[in-house]
Amino acid sequence: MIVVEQLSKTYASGQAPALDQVSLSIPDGAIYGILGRSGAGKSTLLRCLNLLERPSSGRILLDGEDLTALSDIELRRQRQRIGMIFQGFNLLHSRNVFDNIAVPLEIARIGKAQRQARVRELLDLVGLSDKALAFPSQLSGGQKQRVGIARALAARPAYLLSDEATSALDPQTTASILELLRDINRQLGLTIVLITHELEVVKSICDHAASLAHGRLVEAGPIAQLLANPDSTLGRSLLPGYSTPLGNDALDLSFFDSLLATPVLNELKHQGVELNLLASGVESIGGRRVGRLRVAFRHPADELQLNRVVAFLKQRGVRVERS
Amino acid sequence: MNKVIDWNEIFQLVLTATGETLYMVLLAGLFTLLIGLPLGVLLFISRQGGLYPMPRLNKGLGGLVNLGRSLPFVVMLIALIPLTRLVVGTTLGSTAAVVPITIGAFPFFARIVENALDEVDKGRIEAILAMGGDIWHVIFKVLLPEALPALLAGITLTLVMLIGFSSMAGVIGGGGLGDLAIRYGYQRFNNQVMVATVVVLVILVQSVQSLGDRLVRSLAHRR
Repeated sequence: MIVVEQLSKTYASGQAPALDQVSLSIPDGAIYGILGRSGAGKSTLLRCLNLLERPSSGRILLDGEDLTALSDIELRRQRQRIGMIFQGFNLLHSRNVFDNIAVPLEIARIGKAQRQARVRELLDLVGLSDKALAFPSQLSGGQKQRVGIARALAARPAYLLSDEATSALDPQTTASILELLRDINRQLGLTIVLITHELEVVKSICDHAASLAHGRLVEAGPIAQLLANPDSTLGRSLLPGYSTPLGNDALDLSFFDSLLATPVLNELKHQGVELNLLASGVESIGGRRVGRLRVAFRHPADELQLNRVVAFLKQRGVRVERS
Repeated sequence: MNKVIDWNEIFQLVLTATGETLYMVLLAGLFTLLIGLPLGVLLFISRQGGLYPMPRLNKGLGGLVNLGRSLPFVVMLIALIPLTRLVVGTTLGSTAAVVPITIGAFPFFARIVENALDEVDKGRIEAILAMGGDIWHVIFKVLLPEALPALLAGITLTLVMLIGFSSMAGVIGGGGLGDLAIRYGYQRFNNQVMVATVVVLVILVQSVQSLGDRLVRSLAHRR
């Protein structure tokens, strides 16, 4: 578990802080997505987690141990437990794929025979066994990121930090890399912390999310909770959206999981409320199935009736948004 | 009038001089590499905001390097005579010339090394630090191997410069091709010797350069 306490980072005095009193906790086994526009401080936050960037104040507790209080040697030992992948891959161009993956093992002083066996295992895991002798310049972006992932996993870390790892890749390659990340999260029980500016990334693999703006934490929590909370802007933004704005007599309804099979609208009809379906869709977000409907009242509804319907729907567990 | 000497004699003269030049260039080159490479690495890592910032040391070393590079070589050759005597025991001959040549060249090479390391993608350094590497891992697994093509190009450049420096070694009796050209070609108007030294020098520089280029290319090819 990673616990971030009151983390602040100021690069130059007088300047606005890159991080301002950020606190969050990342449970073991989570895929934790941190969203934010460029300049929001998410990269600084991620780089503080392995102390590539030293915070100005605050603590980072890795399984209870405060990284900011460690000596250099202890910090390097802890870093071996935290793999990292990058937007620019950062592979060594002087080494072939095999030797790139071996670097963390060399640093961990693992013997040659064991090293070779481990690298072969990893090549197999990321599906690049046939590229062992290729040099990075001969690989595609997706292949380079696979090497990056294999390298990050080599020393069997408990955590994986992903710094915009898919931002330089095309949508298809992105999907395959995300799938690989989800697989290793499940198979190896690895906790993944990723930063991204792409909502799609969070939607497709994360189970926890946080959003940053101007160095401050806006929201954080399990995606299921964020989605269910009608006040959550982050939850709102993760839901499928429509390009046209919501009209006066219309509602956006979100149904989660088992609720999808409940005839809520039918019940409304029995109460004499008739709704027209304007748009609908079902998506999988953060491991939950989410159905989303936009409905309009067939007959103009007064404020009282509208409130009554909204209250009924909320009571049934439907997330309701109105204009 | 210029005395005509036979080709056999010229051949002997040029051969000896070439040997002296090669001796000076290779020995000074070796020392330049041994001093300049670590110094360049030190200059790079000790920078402000560098891997191991030591601003005072960096400024001091930088100042020395600039001083070494600001003196014309001929002046340095003479100014360093006391030091040469201290190091090799004599101030005359090819071996004595190696001292000022090395001192003239290593600051230049150190800067080349520093710049070559600066060209290495910072993200790759960061990747090694993120996986728990220390500064030695960064130097030996990232900086030097990743900068190798640029370093080889720098070594080539430095060797060519050393050939130039060695031609001035005649001033302190170091011999070599430059000395030969001055003594026979300039002072005795012997055009045969003059032409021969020019040809050998051109061949020497060209082969160093093309060998260096080929090495750089063969490395860059697979990267």
